[in-house]
Amino acid sequence: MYQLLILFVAIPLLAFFATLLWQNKSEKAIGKIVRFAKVSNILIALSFFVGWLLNELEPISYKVATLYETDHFVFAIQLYYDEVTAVFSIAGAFLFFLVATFSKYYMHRDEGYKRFFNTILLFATAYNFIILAGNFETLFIGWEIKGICSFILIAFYRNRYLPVKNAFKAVSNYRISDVALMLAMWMMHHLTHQNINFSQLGEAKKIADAANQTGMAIFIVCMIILPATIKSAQFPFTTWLPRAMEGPTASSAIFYGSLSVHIGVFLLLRTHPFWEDMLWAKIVIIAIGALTAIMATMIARVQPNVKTQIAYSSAAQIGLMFIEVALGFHWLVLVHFAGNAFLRTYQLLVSPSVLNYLVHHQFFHYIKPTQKVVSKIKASIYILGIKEWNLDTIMFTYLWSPFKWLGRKLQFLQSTIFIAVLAVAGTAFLILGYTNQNSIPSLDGALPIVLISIALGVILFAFSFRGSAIKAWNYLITAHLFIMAAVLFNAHHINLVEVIFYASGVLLAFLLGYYCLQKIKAIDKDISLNRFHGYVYEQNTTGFLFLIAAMGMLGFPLTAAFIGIDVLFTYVHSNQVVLIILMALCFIFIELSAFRILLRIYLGPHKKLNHPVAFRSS
Amino acid sequence: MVTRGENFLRGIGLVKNFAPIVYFVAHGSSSANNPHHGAHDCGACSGRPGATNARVQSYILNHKKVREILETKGIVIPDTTQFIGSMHDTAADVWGYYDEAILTTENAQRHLINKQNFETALNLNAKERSRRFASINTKQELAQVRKAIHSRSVSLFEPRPELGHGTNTLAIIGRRQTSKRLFLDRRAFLNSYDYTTDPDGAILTAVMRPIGLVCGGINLEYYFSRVDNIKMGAGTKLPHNVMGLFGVANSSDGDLRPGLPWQMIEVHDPVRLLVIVEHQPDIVLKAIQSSPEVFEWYKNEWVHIVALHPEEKQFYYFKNGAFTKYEPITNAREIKTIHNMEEFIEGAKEMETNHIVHATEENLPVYLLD
Repeated sequence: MYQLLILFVAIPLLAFFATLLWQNKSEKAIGKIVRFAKVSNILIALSFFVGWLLNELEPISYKVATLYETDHFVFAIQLYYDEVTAVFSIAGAFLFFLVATFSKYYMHRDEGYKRFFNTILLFATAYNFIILAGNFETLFIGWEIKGICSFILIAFYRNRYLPVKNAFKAVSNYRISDVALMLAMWMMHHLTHQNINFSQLGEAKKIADAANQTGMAIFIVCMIILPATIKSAQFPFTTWLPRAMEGPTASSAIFYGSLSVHIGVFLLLRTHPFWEDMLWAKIVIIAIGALTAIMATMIARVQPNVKTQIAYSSAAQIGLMFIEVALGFHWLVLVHFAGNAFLRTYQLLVSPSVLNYLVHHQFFHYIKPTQKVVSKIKASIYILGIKEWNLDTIMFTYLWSPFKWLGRKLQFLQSTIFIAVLAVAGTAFLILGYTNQNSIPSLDGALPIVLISIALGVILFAFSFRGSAIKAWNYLITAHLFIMAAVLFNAHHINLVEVIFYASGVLLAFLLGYYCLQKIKAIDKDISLNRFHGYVYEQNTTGFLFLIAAMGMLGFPLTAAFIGIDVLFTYVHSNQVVLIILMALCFIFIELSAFRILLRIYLGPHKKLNHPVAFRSS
Repeated sequence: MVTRGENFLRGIGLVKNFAPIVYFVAHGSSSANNPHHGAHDCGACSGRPGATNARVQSYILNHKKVREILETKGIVIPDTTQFIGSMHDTAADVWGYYDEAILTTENAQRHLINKQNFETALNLNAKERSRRFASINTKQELAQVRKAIHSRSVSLFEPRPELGHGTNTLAIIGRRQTSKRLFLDRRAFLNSYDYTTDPDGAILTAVMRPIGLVCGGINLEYYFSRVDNIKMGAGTKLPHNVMGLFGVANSSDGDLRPGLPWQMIEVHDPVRLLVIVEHQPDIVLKAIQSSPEVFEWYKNEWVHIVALHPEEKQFYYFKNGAFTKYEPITNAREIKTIHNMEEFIEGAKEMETNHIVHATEENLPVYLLD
């Protein structure tokens, strides 16, 4: 029976691959595949639930495969099923069914019909991966895939400026959550010296207590609360949620109304055994939840458009769920989740009707508003709500601008000599690091820090560079050289295969991306990052290939680099705070730089005017 | 009341030979989950259904005193004639009638028979419309097609409850005999007007007054939305977000969108309206020159106008301020004839792909009906 757990993931994944084989106009064929997936998704969720009930509600843990194993590291795909999974999987299956059925008609004759269904099938796979994950590594695979699906659907209308801008905004937030989760995995590994399953989280806590490693435990909990806060759009990250409502209404409904946005709650529920005894963690979670609930309610009540209202109301409810999780009312949370998810999906799906309902109501029951004196405090709260507490500006000014500023200060790197020097130095360090792992003193850990700082500098340069995209792309691979060299110098012994894992994936991605950029350059010799080019309009396939390259460049679970990155992380010791911070920043900005190239070259308004082009502000 | 009633009857040339029941049919459209609901309703009624107007007009003409005064003005409405307001829901293909209780016994019986005929017409109308909807199999039983059309109009997930005025290209102002047995593939506004009751064009002036505004306005709305749907239209309606209660935008911070959404204009060929008036060219010219706001529609070529000379059976095309004789380039014998309407609709060409260029290829040429 346990093997059946694989079906949760396998069926949507197979359906995803099957839909890839059809063309956009084959709506019937795609529709049939989606129908198969959505119906079997429900059947599996229900039948497994019944089987689990008959099996006396015991949590199920099932190991699918071990992808990589050494003396100190195990990378296994592990599945886990308990009451939390049961509720999330059944609610998810029904919501997927609803939205897929709705979209079959709604998306009819859209130019992105196939793309839409591909993406939501992949999303269903990722969602099931997350809720069934038995360890952090498995969860992380789903987590990353879901992030990409989100990006693709926000930027669904990819030849308009605003969807692309807002997709990048969401992805920037997501990337912080990804890296935070990576750090949690890394620290958990150092804490327990094994790759623990979710069913063993209670034991992990005991280990932490026994070894008197409260610092490590605090770090892990922070790195769990942070991604949960970001993904569930809690304070102060709430503003990405309403801005993510750029795709077709149906996709907004399943992603930002229901399933995607509750994943943070799921993460907290899943990791609850680890932090249930930590009072401070509970207080933090309650504070975040309460603050979001109040703030989001205040904002939602004064917003002028329906989708933003729904987004903020949903965030407010999730804030309450955070409080409930922290207080330990888990069944209440599950009921609350299901209720909120179905309600928001419904509200979003019928959001175009609001005009009919309310205008009709006004037509028959119009009451002229009376002129009232508004108190100053009320007016201030109103303005604060309209401005969304300025959170969007604050995030931009204090979170992202400093890095842009730093990148601009590094513009001296743009001379061609520099990249040659850097590439040579990087390669030299890499070889040196590998061949002389023990003989060269790493200067008390200073050398790795220097190397990783160079990597970060190069990445930040690429992040704010406005010249040739190929140049920025070359800098990114150079940065990878330095990251690898830094890790090599930090380790006493490293397996060649691990380096190859990492390098092969990144190198493949680099070459693919290089080819795609060269192809665009050949068109009219202009691939500057100073503007949007929108080449996906005429170079659809190249755009898709570059998306894959950009994902491969940062260790997305496509190539072996995914395992490579996770393994290399374990060579950073738990007390190397500076090194790990720099490394985390590298992994955040390497993705953002790669996606920025994707955005500027392939997405956005197409530069040629031989077809209708939307206004930038539309 | 009398003036309204009289102007209306004279405008459509209905001044004698009254039938026992005269129906005023308003139009409106029901659709669910559609912020562009108003664009399917009556444009001349500020984007609302015209049902109230139909009811009011029939009340006026049923009024005893009104009829007495109308008699002094030469319009004799027999006592047996009754006016009934009704409304056609163009999306659901449903026809509702108001105040049926006022009908006399004989008229009530006639009304029953008429209703059946209208139902048949609605069935055929539904079938004709269904060929443009991929979700409906045109070849199934009429009743089923009708049911599918109806459920489509209340479906939450249908971005195209109806195609509205898509494909409009013509406005024919004349007696209905003139365009009888002509298949125009839902392209024409048909405006009843009898030139024999109006030799000096006094009524025509009043008839022509709203043509540019209403028909021309609708035509240009579709025209510009189709020519550049992304800038002058609303773009695809799938990501639309209702702003306030007055408009839609693409997302939380986009501009308000003008014009019609993609789903309404896909089947539309962007051509300017051709107004055909059945009267002598000099009288038509006089009618459209009656006021500057009417004339500028034609002078500035926002719409085309052709006078169909009723005696000569000749077309006169208006260009550079004058009507000149127009020789059709299509030989009349090239126009094919439809023998079996149902078969013809079932066999009509279907689009190859879902691209917009193929969508308009579904539009059919003019046919004769036998």
